[in-house]
Amino acid sequence: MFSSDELQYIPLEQFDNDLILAHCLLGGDRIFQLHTRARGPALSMHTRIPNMQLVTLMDLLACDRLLFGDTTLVSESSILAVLPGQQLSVVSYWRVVAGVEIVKALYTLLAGSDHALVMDIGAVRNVLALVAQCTPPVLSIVYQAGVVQVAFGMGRDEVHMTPVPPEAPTQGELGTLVTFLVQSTRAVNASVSFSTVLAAYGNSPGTITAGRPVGLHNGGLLE
Amino acid sequence: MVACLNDALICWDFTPGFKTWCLLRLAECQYEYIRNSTQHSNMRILLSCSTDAKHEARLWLETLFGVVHDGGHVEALCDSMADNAAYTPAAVMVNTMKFLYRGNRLWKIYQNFLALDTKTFLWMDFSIVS
Repeated sequence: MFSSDELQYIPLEQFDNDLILAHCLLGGDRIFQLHTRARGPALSMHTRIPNMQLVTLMDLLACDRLLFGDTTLVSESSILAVLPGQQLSVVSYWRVVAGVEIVKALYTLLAGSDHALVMDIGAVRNVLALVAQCTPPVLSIVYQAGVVQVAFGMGRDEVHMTPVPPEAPTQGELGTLVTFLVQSTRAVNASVSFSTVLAAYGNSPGTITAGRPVGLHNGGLLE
Repeated sequence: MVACLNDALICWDFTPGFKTWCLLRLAECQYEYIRNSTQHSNMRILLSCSTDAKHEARLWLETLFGVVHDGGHVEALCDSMADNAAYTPAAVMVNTMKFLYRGNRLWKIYQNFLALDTKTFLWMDFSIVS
């Protein structure tokens, strides 16, 4: 990051930014997300990136990875106000044609009663090797809707007892046999696979259902 | 261990909170993972109804449950699968509680009619892909 004006400085409590490659579009254009945080006196902050266009939210593809969970603003304007003592956290999206190697984000900060104080800040980043944060999903498989039936116990009568309620009383060792019958709802050439069965046992009413016994494990930790 | 579908990133598992809670109450709560393994063969999968497949399925039932015949269980499954052959049917038989720890007398032992009833909960992920 650099300051372009040697004569004027505006004392800031915080100023940082980050640039990520959000999308690579089919035509080769790229969309970057610029995240800026600033805190200081009352400011008017003008942002520009040479050779890039500020894009509106309507032009963005939906992507959860670009969302912020805090009070960060999503802006469609290149001019924003920083209120005294309050942190401004803002993201904006910028579009550029393919092949750009260096991105320069230039900020002009105007302070004072008549905006007499002017300070320029520039941030430069080589973006050639950046990988897009969001990519269109590539689906090589098609999931089919299915129907699962269940039978409790052993024998022809148990299997043919339809419809079977989701739970049923059983007795003895044969009562521990649970049979699942699964099939697609469409007559297509499909394959069926299944995972490990999770089994929980309780011998007092409400023991198992009291909490949340099973959760999704999607590459992260369960709650 | 988590239960993942083949080649899938999305898996299901018992939540850590539940496992901790359950392990502290082994007299009233237990859980297990049932897999299609040779070590604990408490799951049998029936993808086709060839003569060999049906024989193996019956043998599995007779062996694990100590019965002299399956009472038409496998044949009934195969009848249903034949009726819906175009819809890629499959059957999975699960022998729950087979390897459950029964050190505590509160757990239901088959001939102990004074024991508390056991409530079994099963979660299974099926994936049908075309």
